[in-house]
Amino acid sequence: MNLIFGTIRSRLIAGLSLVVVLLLVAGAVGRSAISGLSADLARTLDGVRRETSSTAALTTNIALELAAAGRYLDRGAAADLESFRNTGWAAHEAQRALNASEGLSASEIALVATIDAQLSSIEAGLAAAHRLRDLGRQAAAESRAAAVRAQEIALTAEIEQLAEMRAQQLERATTALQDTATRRQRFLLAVIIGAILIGVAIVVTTVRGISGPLSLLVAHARALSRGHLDFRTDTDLPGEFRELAEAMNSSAANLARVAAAATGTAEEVATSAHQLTSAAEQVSLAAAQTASAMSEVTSGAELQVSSLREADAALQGVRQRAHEVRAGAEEVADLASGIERQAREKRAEIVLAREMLADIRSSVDSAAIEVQALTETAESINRFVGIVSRIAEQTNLLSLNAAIEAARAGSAGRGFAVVADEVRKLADQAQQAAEDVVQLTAVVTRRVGTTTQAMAIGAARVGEIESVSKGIDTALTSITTAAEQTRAAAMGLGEAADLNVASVGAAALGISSAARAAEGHAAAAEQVSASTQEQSAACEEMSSAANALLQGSVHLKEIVASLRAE
Amino acid sequence: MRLSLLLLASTLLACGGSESAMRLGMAGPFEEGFGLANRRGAELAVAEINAAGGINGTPLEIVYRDDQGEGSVAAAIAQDFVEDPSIAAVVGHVTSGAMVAAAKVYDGKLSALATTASSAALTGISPWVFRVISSDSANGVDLARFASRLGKTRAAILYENDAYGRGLADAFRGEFDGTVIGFDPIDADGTDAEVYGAWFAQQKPDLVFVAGTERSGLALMREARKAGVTAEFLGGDGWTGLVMDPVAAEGALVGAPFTALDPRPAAQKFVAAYRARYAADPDGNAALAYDAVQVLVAGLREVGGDRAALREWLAARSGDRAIPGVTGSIAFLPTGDPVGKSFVMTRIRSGALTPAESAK
Repeated sequence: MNLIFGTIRSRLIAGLSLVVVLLLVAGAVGRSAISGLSADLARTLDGVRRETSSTAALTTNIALELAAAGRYLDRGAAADLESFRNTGWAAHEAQRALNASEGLSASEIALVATIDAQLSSIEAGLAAAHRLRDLGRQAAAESRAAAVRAQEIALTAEIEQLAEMRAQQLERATTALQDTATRRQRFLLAVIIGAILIGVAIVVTTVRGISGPLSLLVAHARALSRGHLDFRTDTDLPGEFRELAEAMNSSAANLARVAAAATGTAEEVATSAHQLTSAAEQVSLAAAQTASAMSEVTSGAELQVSSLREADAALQGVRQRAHEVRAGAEEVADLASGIERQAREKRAEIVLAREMLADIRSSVDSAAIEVQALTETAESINRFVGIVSRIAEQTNLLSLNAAIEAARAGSAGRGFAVVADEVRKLADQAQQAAEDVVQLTAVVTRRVGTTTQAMAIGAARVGEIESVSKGIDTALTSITTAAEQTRAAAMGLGEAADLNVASVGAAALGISSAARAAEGHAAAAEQVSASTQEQSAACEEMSSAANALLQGSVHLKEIVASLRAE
Repeated sequence: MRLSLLLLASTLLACGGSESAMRLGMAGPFEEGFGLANRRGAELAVAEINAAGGINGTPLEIVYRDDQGEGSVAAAIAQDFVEDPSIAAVVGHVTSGAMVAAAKVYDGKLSALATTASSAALTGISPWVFRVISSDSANGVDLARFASRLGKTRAAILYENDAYGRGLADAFRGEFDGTVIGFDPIDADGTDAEVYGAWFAQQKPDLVFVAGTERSGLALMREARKAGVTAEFLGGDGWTGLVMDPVAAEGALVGAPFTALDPRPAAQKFVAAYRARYAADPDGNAALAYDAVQVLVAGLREVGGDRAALREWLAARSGDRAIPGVTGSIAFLPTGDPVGKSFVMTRIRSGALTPAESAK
């Protein structure tokens, strides 16, 4: 069927055409059966009518003829003779018509011929009787008429027999008609039933042809909707459904390929997200650690700054005193300016160093070194002040000796005595200043100690500050060098004072620079901390994004997995 | 014993012979003179044909059945012929009544070529029925005109109460110019001849027309002569047998399809052969039967024994395809009647049909 009628449409067209043809045949057969039947009926009825009418004419005319013959014998009226002839003629005509009618059997033909012969004989006898009467031979006429009476009885019997045969014939004709009608009816019925059966078969096969493949395709669609992408429909189906099934199979195959690709991608994304998440977590953890370290660095730096501020304030006092010394000793001032120049250079170095402090650890380390150096510097200052103090004592001794000598010189030495006195006063002031410096240095030393302690804590925690300290240390080393030069220059009094002042200024500058460096460290640390926090925030965002990505990939995997799941 | 064996052998040989023969059926009232004349004409034809080598080498045979001129018997015989497959066609029937009854049986199955059945009722009765004699409707008209030409004005008409008699009488009555004083049916055996003789004597017709055959005709002529009737007696072809009683029949007028005095060579050859075989002159009955056999044999020669083919061949005998016969050329109208057959008006003189006047 599929080979011949590939599609449901062609199947329907062919089947319905067959039904239509069959119904047309049935209609044609029915029409021809009815018209044939009606023609048969008409022919039969016409034959029956003509035969009946002939038989009736035969019977009636024979009766009339015999009656007229009898009357003529009785009365001799010409009209009766005429009637006898005419009815007799009509009887023979009826016999001839009967003889000519269709469908007579040989026995009927023979019977009709017998009746005709019988009637002919009777007529001949009666005609002779009539002529006998005409001749006035009444008795002979009666006798001749009586002679044919027996024939009349036989004729009557034969007519009855004919009537009976006609009745039987009619019955046979009726039966034949009924048989024909029944046969045609059965044939028509068979054709109609055939058409109906074919129609039903077409409907059934069509419904099957549609519903079977349809249910297969529905099952396929359901399977697809449940994610059974490996589901396939057998394509041995009628044409339209074959195309549909092939389309669905190819769709399912495409979907399966897409799902496989999506699954692979989702797994890759999941893996990447996992990796990203763990990386982000690690980064976040490191950032948090960095942030906490920076926080500590910052707080250490702040402590350092405040210590340096205090040291700076102390040094300001020293510098003030030193200025007072410088006022008396230009050389000292010159030296101080040299220290200052040196300090400026160092400051540039410190700027350079601060730039180098991108690496926080090294900066803090250098700061620690510097603080260490500061401590050492304070000791140096102490040593220096001790030297100044000793110089002041010796100067005081020298001035005392000079006053004694001036007093010895009398009036010639009076002016010298004034200078000696002034020198002694200067020495006293230097002594005083040295004591002040000692005190201040003690304060500084103490402060530096505190700072050193803080720095030690900071250095212990952050190497960067140590490197800053080293920078400061280097700078202060330069200051020390300058201070040594000051000391060398302060071989004289003013020089020494100026040197002192310069040293103090350099110390102040160093501290100030250390403080600024510390501030810079703190700011840098804060920046680092802030950037670390930003980084941390970014890491958290990244982590959250990675988490979202992970969740998305997991979801994607779930979806794809559900597509494959049973 | 030897004789018995010889008889058996000859019977077997005869049977063998009949197996291979061409067969025709023939039916008529062979007890009647006109019937016998029919049979003799047919037998002469068969003898001549077989003597000349048969039908394309096959001998011809005729199966004779006596139907007594009765329709009922004729119908039964016709049925027998139809059911006998060896019968290719039928010669006859002889009488109109028998032919009318048998025609319905032959219709559609077997060709019948009637010899002397002249009833008008046979015209067009069946495509399978033909005849070599003209119809009574034509013959009656010919006879009535002949009577009128004879100056007859007062006619008594008698007819044998059968298809032939009624048809011929009716045709005569319709065409006759004078008065018809009587129109009576009679029996073929002449039962009431005396009555009519007396009646003719009383009524004095100048012409008695009898549509019948020789028995009733001869009886009537005898009785009429006895009664002193002087009227002329006229009959149709059915009266050609009256010559069997030259005394009684003397002077009777007969419209005949054939006369032995026909001078045509074919007719004279037939007459000579008939005389040689039967020592009597042939009449129309013999001549028509002879011609009927000759026509069917011509058909058998051309198309063989197939019934339908033979009917087609017979139906095709028209115009220039006519078969020459002793009664004239034979061709058929679509009705089965012959084309252009004519009656010869004769008067019986000393037992011979002598030409009285040509009807045409």
